[in-house]
Amino acid sequence: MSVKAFIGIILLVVLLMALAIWSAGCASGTDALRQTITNTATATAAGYRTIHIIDKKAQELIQAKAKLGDVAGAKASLETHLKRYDVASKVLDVAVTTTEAANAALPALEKGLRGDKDVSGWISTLLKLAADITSAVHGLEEAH
Amino acid sequence: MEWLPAALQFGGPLIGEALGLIGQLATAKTEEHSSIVERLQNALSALREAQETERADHNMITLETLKAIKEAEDRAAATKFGIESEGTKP
Repeated sequence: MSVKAFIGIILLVVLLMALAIWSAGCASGTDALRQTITNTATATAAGYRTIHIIDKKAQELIQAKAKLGDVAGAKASLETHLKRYDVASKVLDVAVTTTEAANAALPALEKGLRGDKDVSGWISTLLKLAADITSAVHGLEEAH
Repeated sequence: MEWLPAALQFGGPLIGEALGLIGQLATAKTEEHSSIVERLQNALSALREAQETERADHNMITLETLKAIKEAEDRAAATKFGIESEGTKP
């Protein structure tokens, strides 16, 4: 066998292996983003369920206060609760918008129309949002 | 071209191995990818549902609270009116 043929075959094998590794790497980049979107979406949904429980309990207490005749106290409590609730609710609404925007950006990222920086940018934005959700929900929880 | 049979004898199994590995990687990746895509779609649906449910429940319970406050206000006003009416009786 000639040296040229030997080198050619080795190069072909190396090329095929590199292609396999490269394609696996490409898929994992956007799949990592997909997993982050899934985690953020799950955390946001859990956040909605938690603030729902807090909201229900808080409003039941306010209703009880009103039924006992403390109208001024009930009005003041409702106003404070709604302000706190709005803060937590807005954080969750932002998370929904961003999660859906990241999901909508996936096809372009997958086709390589945008670079790796965009993938990691989305991932870090979503991770920050997950931290915001946790602190917003805990904030509402602690207030009650 | 006399080198071709020797090249095929040497390189054939190597290329076969490489192609087999690529096939295995592609299959595993496709299965993993499908499962990731499915989980993402489920999570997004659950999120939309949680948001809509929470919004509707919040509006409903807030209306109930406002109603309870209004009823308490009305009761207080009626009591006050009753006491005042009692006081003006001859």
